[in-house]
Amino acid sequence: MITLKKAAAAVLTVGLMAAAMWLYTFKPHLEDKAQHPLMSRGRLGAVVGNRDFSVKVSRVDVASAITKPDALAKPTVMRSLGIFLIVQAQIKSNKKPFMTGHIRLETQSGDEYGPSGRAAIPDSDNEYQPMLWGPAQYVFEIPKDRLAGARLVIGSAALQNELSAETNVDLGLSGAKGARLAAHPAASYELRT
Amino acid sequence: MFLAVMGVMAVLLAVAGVFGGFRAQAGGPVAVKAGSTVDQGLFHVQVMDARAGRMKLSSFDPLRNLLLVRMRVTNTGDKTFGISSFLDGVAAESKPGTYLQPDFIASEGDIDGQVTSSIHPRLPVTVQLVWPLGNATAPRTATLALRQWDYGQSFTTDSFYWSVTKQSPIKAKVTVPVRMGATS
Amino acid sequence: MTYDPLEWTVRDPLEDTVPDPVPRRKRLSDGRRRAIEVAALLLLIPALLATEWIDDDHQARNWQTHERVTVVRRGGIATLGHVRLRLLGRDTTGSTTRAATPSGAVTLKLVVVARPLDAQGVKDVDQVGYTVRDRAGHVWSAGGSSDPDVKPQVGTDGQVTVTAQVPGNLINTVVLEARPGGLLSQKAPGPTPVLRFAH
Repeated sequence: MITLKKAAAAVLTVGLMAAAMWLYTFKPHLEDKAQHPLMSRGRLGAVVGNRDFSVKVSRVDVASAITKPDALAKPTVMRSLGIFLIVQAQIKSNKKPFMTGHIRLETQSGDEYGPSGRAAIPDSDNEYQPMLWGPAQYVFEIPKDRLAGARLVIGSAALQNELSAETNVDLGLSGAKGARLAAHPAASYELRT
Repeated sequence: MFLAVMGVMAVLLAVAGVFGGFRAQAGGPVAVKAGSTVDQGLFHVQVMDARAGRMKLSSFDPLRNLLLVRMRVTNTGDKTFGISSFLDGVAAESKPGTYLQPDFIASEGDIDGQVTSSIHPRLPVTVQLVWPLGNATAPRTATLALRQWDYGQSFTTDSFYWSVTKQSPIKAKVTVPVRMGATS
Repeated sequence: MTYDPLEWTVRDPLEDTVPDPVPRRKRLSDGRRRAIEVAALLLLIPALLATEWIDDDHQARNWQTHERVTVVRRGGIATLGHVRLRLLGRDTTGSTTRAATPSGAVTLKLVVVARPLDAQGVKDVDQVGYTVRDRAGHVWSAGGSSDPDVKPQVGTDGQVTVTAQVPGNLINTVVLEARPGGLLSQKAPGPTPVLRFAH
């Protein structure tokens, strides 16, 4: 005959073991995050920097199509199923020649969008020298509902970038401004080469 | 005591049986026709059409005997993937058991007619896959094997990522009729 | 405690609590023992940490650039591997013609004379990596170019123009550095030789 105390102890044991197993499921995700790059955060218009490099985002444009002018032929028009987000920034290195990489747009929902990948949009140069601000232009293509709260993240070009420095810039697209731009993006943005 | 443990085990086995047994997942690739959407885990793929013939893909290309298959691909993950990564998960079954990879350089993705090399989350891309046929005649129906993408943790960097290899199990085999005599 | 006379006739050795008849050494008193433990900890912990740090430092040397810098006085000649280098002068007029130069940058041109000392030097002379640096330790990339019509020959001086984009206010204070580049950088382990030309 099992006494009430023994039954309660058995139930408590099973419960604690289940709780221990549930806590253990968090381990891989914590190990994953432990090696992520170290972020410096900032806003549009401010200088966001770390020991390796500094970034100043100057302008953000939102358009539903991009036009690339051509001196010899008809301009190329690229339409998106979502919207294009064009970011202009200035970047300078702080110590030695620095190559940017791992550039992405982080949305509030946790998605990471890489640069658009359109063949007609050229990649900008990615090497920056110390104490000299160089230009950078990034084009992203995202669904309309992901515009609000988007942030630009720039890191180093190293393939193994564990614990390297990255900058995370809030593009000021939250709230009313983000909703307005997503609902009524510019009809076309002309790409300057 | 022994009988009590055996009784509990029997009950647990019965419960497991009710919930589907110990099989990890459904066995074997599913056979589908073109037009229905296949879930590869990372991508939702809908095979649209196929055509074959002697043609030049661009003005710099030589005249070749090619099989072209168009697919509508949607990335359901949370990161951007390249077209070449998507191509790793698709193969054409020329003979039962023989799988051919598409031509990585000639295959391309496009959105509304403009070429792109990236597939972004929740933005569908039309991918045109190219298989050079050489001297062989094009088959009347092409069978495409779509592999299952696996989400796991990297052994070296501890980060989670989607991956597919030539040994990944085939999720579905899609049959699509091939339009002969295409010239572009 | 039961005191059963019958039970007491059969002694259970485990129940006895009589001091050991075997003579033993005198034990340390509690205080002494603790003092010795603390002293041992104070010695062993730093020794362990020091050994770990020294070992990590030796291992890290393999991953970091371990450089041996030779400062070349103004106008002097120095050898980098199989190439002899001499800095002739610098052009600080600083006109920029490239459209994509960052703002505030001026072009600095330095003229270097390179003489290959042997056949290996002829191969190495185009592979020398140039950078410019300032007092604070900032480093800028620099590219060396020579006349493509003139092939380098053993024992003959060839002119290399090193160009770099630097901030305007530093154009007169940055110094040139030369490192073996290309295949040479994967040579034998040990410090990388670097030549720093004083200005």
